[in-house]
Amino acid sequence: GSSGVAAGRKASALESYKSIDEVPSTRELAIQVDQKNESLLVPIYGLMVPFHILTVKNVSNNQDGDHAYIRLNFNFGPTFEPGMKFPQATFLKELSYRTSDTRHATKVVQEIKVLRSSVSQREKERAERAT
Amino acid sequence: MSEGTGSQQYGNIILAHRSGTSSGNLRVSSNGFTWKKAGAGKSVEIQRGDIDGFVWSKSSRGCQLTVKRSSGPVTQFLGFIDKDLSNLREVASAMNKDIEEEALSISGRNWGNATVEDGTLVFRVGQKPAFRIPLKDVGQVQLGREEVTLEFPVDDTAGGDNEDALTDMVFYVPKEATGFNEN
Repeated sequence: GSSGVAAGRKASALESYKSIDEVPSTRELAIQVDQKNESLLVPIYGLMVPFHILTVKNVSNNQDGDHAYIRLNFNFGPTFEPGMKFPQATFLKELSYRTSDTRHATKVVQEIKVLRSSVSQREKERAERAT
Repeated sequence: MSEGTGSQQYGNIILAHRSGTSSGNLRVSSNGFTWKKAGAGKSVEIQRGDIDGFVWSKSSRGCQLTVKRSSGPVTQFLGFIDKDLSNLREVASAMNKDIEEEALSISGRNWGNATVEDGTLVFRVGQKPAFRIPLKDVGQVQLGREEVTLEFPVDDTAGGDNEDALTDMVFYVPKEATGFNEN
């Protein structure tokens, strides 16, 4: 698959948190990475909404003067295992954020990339061992 | 506004917006809700007659009260504590309304069902809402082939230095999808 997810544990079984008490609490409405639960948390209307790192396809950071734009692209559709399993599902495909904290943008985008790559690699190895 | 039954005050309540931690004071009575931003400026008033119902959800940033309104999209307040629910129930029952308790989706999945309910976009994952977006806040909606893009206007006056402001949200909506239909 395009994500490396289909080869390992089924993406449709991903679960970031089981209970709200497990979700890290934060005051700031800024994108953050939860390494322990292999998820990112993004601000949407006051809430910090979690997305499992294996739902992320790629992430980019574009600087524009005093601001930075963070763009998150998610896996979706028939090339993503949940898309094959649930053909009627709607997918959140993309989120873009604007921030005046360019250092935060650089740091969080790097963190997401590193976590995504290490978790994808582990899942790939796990799948290879299983076959 | 004259005082109704059991007027209550809540401090440090956040009015949910696409960006900006607008914290303020919420006054609640059987006449309705009045939220005033700390310091000065913005206030939001919701009259009793405009209130359709309430939803209570626990979040990682305190409890959230969603006010369903007959005149349009929902208004969401964040930052309550668990024990506020029983006091808010008293006010709701004085309005002959219930407070429905609903768990938010925290599964981390990006697939589900998007519906438009009374001018509010609700994205549900496995029956549980992940988030609600009042569509009046959306600047532009673009419809592509199997794709819906929501653009939010940039507001430099909202949001502090430590906040990431949502500018674009894109959904993949396959032609088989049942979502995005008006409920």
